[in-house]
Amino acid sequence: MGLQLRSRLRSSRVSSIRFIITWSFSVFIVLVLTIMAMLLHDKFTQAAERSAELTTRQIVDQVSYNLEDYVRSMSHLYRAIEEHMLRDGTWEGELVDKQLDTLLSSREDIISITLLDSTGQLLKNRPTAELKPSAHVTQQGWFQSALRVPDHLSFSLPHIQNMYTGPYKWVVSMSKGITIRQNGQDRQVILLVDINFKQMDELSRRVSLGQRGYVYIIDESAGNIVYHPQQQLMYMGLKSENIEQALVASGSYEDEADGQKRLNTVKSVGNIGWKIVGVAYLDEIMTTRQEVNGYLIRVLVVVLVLVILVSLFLSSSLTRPIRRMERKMKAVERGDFNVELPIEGPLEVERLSRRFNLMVNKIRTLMDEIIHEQEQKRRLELEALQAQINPHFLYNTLNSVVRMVGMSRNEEVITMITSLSRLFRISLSQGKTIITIREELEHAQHYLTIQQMRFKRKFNFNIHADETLLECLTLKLVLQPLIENAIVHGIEYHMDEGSIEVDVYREGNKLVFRITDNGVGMTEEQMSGLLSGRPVVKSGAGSGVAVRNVHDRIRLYYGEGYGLEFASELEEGTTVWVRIPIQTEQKEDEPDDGQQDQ
Amino acid sequence: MTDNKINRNVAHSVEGLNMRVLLKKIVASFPGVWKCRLVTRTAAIGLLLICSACGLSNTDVTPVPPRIALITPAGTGELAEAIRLGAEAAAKESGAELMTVEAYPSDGHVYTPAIPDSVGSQLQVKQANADRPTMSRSAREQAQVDAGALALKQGASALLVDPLSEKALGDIIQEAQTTHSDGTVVPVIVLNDEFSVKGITSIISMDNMEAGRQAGQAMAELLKGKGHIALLGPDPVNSGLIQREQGVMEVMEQYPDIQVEPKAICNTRDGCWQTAKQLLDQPEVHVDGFIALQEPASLGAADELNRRNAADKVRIVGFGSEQQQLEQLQEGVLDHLIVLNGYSAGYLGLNQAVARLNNQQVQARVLLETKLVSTDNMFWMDNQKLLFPLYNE
Repeated sequence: MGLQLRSRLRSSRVSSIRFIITWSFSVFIVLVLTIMAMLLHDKFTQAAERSAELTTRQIVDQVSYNLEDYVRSMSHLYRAIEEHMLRDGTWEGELVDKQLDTLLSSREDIISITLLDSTGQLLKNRPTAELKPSAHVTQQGWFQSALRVPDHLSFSLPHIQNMYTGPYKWVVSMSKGITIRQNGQDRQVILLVDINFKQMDELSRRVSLGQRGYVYIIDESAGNIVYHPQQQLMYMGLKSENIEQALVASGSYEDEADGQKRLNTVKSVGNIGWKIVGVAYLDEIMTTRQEVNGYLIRVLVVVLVLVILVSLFLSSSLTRPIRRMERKMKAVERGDFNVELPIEGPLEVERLSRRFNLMVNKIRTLMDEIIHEQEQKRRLELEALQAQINPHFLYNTLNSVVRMVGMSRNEEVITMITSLSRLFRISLSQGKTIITIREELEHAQHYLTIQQMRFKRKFNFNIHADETLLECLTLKLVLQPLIENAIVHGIEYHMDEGSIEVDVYREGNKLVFRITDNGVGMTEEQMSGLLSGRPVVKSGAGSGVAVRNVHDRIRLYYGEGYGLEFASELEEGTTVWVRIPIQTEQKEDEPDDGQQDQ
Repeated sequence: MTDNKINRNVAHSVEGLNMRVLLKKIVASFPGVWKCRLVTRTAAIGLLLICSACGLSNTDVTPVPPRIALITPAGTGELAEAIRLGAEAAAKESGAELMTVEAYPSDGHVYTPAIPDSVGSQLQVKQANADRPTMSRSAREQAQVDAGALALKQGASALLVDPLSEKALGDIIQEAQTTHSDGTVVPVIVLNDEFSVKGITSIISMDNMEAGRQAGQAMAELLKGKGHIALLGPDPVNSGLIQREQGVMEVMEQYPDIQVEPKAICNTRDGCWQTAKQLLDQPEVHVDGFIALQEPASLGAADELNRRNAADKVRIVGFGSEQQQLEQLQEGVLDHLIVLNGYSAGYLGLNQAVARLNNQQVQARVLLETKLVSTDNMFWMDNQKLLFPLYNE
């Protein structure tokens, strides 16, 4: 658990592949998305604006067309009225009345037909009614424009008709100054046809540009408002339109009112001198930039989260084999070279695994080689150590033999030579370093026999061995140097008769040689010196490295857990324990050749 | 040199086994369950997020528009229609739904509403007894209260009403406060009148004091600061009329040469005609002008002037913009009219209701401007719009 946490923490480091992949992925994708979003956003809003503009334009064009159409039909109507009324230069007669009544009844939006002379006197009207003097017809706009531009049909702005009694009505006045010949002389009359404004009002009111959009109409000459759905509000000062801009504009333009952006589309209505302005609120007719932005930001956030999740998953699946590799390498670090990575995962990881396996293999081979070399070296060392022992002893023994021959002790010479030859046969032992306990003990016995003779029976010796252990194996020449050590350092300077005991017994799964003497013993210092490798004080005939040599050889061969142990008391004697594993069969790696010439 | 421990007990034959164990360990360290879980989780979260993203884009749920009821007629004749038009325009603008509930038939001409648009859809509700042509005042008051109750039953979230009396208004407010069991109060907007009743959300009315001043000032200018005037008007049943009178008197204090007769009480056109006749018939006092505080008074005075053919001798300043008043104004019988913009009353009233429903600032009192219209300027472009807000058939 703790380990997992640690690796988690470590994997969250900025330099980890997982981190790099996750964030670079995320940043890259979000960057790309942002750029795309921006481009799309621009494109999108442009397209939306264009289409909104187009839609508004189409609607405004339609209104304009309808109005034009209406105005045209009204002009036709006016001409028809004019035709019927003034055909013969006179407006009297039942036929005229009848025709006018027919026209009136056919079009409900004609409110009145009035014929006046140039002084404003009523000549004829349909429906027949009293003209109000308070109306001051000569001061009205339609009357003045008819006089000003004769023979030209002019349309007035919508106004309240106040010439006749009855409810006040909104009308558009069509008027024209007409010159007729009557009784041989020209006379100017003014024909006024008032049409109900309701029709035009409805045409304009019916338009829907979004929810709150509308159209309004201005008069191109002076910029008066002809029609506005919220004209009341304008008089109240709660609303205003930028008429100046609308007057000069053509096509579309954007403006702002009450903090809201609006799209204005302008179109002139022919024949009447009006201009239609379509007003559409941008937030209704198109998704506004803020909306698009909000949507895009939401999408970005979602994508970012997705990308992080996906890249986390991806990077962890990518780094998993790498982490596995790391674990294996740690195992190798700990000394376990028997690891192998499965060849799987991404190609690079596969390659790495293969390389790693090759490398570990290589290390293994190299290590085997090293082991082999080391063993060779060890064997050579052992042999060298062994070789050190023999000449020395041989020299001493032969010296003794020479002495004995000089003293004509033939019996002893024979014994000594025999022992010596046996001893050498065992120590040669066909070049083997491993021999049986039996042989080792025999070797020790011969050695002791020879030394007994050399030291003129200065000591006795006893060898006891557990019968079951006799066929076990041991490194050869273990006992001899220790016995030599006991004789040379323990017995030689001892006043009394010495004794040397050699015991072989089992201690758990170890085999123990115990060599006990009753010699002079050693100090602590001497004892520790024995195994520390410091050459002890040379005392005559010892090799000086013998004890240490045995210890080293045992450790080299059997490992750390084995070797020598001393116990000693001054004037009491010394005991040496040699511990080796109990082995009953020859190890394979022991070369059986190596017959060395001695 | 030779101190590295070499474990040479490991037989090579065991190595294959070791590898298998190791592999097993590796697989065990990444259990397949975990992998599957991760994949499914990621997929699930992804799907969820995508769905939520799609959902996010569709969160533009249009809220249900508030339904605001106008108890009609709000006032008399054309003013009531203008109020309705204004409320309609405001409803269209704010996206509210205007519901009109007719308490009793309007005494003006019949108005057909504008073409219904896609927005600001209108509900028109008529009460069962609304077709009775003539109703007593108390019956009308009751009809108004019933109309208010009916509007609340139909789900109105605000009421616009021109109450006939304090009692009727009190009853309507009572209804509005108790209609919802959860304690929410339906706002009531009072049009054209001032009543001291608790629970009114907002009052939309003309500044009667200022209107009175305008009337007095206009009369003073007509008489060039010298003469005799008489005030005609009904019993002061509400504070509006009292304030008009106060406004007139305030101005008259500045004209010492103008004598003001004590106010003559008259409630109907005919009554006011008789009153005007009596005033003009007085031998000892020569009345130069009438200030008529209400429509019937101005029409009654005009009738008397028409009868006497004395329109150019006696001035009349009146209040209102009914068609007959306008006709008299055109003829010069009435010299001035103080006109209330009914359209803006309806418009602002509805806006106040919407503001209250949106928990925005509401003005307790909205004062409407009044305009002085004369024979000369009544057909000016903007005055036409003010005086004739409707497109008649």
